[in-house]
Amino acid sequence: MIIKKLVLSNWKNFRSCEVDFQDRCFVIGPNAAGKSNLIDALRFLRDISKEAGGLQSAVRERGGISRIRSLSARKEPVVSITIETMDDTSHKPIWSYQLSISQTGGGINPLFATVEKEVVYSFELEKYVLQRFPTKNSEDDEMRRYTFLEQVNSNRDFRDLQQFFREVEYLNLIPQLVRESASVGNLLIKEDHFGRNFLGNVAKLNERTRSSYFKRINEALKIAVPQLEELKFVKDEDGKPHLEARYIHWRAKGSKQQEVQFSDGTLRLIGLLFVLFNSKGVVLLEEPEINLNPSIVSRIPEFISMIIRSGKGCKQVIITTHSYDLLNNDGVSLDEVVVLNTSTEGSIAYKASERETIKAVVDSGFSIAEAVLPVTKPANIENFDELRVD
Amino acid sequence: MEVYIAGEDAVTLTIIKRLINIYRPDISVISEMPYRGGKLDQAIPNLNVLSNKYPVVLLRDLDMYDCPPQLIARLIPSPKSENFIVNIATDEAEAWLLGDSENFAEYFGIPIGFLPGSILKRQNGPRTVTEIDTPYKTSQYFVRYLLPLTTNQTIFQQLQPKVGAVKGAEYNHVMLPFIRTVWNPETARLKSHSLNRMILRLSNFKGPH
Repeated sequence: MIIKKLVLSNWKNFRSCEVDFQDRCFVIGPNAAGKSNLIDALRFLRDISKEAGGLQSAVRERGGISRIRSLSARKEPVVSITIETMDDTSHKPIWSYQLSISQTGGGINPLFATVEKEVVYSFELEKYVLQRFPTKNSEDDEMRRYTFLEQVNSNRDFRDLQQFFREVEYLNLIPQLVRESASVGNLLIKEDHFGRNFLGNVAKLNERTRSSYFKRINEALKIAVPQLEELKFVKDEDGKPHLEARYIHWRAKGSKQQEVQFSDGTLRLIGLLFVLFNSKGVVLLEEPEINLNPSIVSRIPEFISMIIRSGKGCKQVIITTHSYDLLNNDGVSLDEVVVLNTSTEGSIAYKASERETIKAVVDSGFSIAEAVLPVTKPANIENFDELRVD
Repeated sequence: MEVYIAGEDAVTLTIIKRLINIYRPDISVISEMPYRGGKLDQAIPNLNVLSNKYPVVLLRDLDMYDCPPQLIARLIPSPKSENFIVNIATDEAEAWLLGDSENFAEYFGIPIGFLPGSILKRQNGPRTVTEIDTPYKTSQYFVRYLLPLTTNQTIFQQLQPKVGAVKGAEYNHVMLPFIRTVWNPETARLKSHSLNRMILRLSNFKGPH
């Protein structure tokens, strides 16, 4: 199962927005247009669905409803997310899930996120399996603090949707955190999007699966970082997990290096490959081009396509990017590119294929990168030339 | 009317935008092509196709070529779209900037008497045209001969190229504000036939055919 459509109302940068996703999707836009906030809506559903998660914790992690609500929505109190899923091979729609929330409390009363509406429609059964309107159903305040999605007693008819959200993976690996995790042995971090527990996650895999991943990662590393060989997973005397590889130099056998000595680019590449192989669902990638040589970046789109097609890893990848090299690939379609632009009424999102001005450029023989990236330049970027520092 | 614009660097793109701003304020720029610049000549056949849907305004330097029509014929596959407004600056867009000598002299701190004037030139064709007269490539003449004459030390530091560099480290930071706010194309067009032609092409452009 993969994500077909995301509809947001009053969510962060977006007063309202509707985005269709392909199995490989590139989200582009100027800085602060809401690329990360768009995919944060998917992470939000994951945070509700995960073990020890739930609505209150997902909202609290984001600083409360007041931080989630769109500034452009003025007084509208209700935040709404609707998501449609589809089968990853037939692309037939499976579920539609809608959640609307607001905030109660304030003053001397504690603030809580409150469910206003929760609806689940099954396209297979062609019927609603949940239609929850708490105010009409006279649910008390306590009941309204929980989604049915997060409760096993209530989500029996759509539990695979909960499981699907749980498996959404988000990666924005920060090499320094991977190194730190090894030095302090910090394996207790509940959520790991930035690499603090990357080595711990590798350690959790069974030996056979891990070897299979490392074999494939080594094949890619051999080409991208030829001076590193035989990347493997090891544990030190204290049982702490490490990545280890042989660094080839003037000595015949080279020398062993561990992750603290790996370059930022090497660590990011390993993290990227690992998450693509390890995930069995949706992967959300934040700017995978960072720290990587452009010649590697330009090959990422095809590599992702290969993994999705093979069925031996993730099924859908949604990527935020600013990279010309990533998009300068003839195999990328305009349907796969979601463009975000800012306006005084909040950010707007549209598929690149919906804009005639963009289509005309591609139809004239230019690459997708040439067609879409100029659209995402800040409107007054020229003023940068007028800046004075003296 | 919406158009795409194409130039080989920030200077040419900024000149296009300034001229549109002055002479065709009814035209809005969709975006600049090619995105990364530097590959303008390779992109020209695609720009020609694009102009069938959206007009394209292009500005390219003549550089070492003798004759603009010959260069256009070499670069553009026939048939050329009528909405493809091709402009060639003789010999470089920087020469157009020198055409407004008073403002140029003041902004760059160079005594006006040292700035080149315009002469009648024969560009490999039957007619003679007025263009700025520099003994070699305008941008190099500017950096090697004119820049050392400046009384503005900051401008000199910004524009003096380091060894191995083609332009000064802050070239665009100095040139682009000049083009946007100081340069007067009405004065400059009197000394440059190629600039005058571009202004006329823009002014007379009726829109997509």
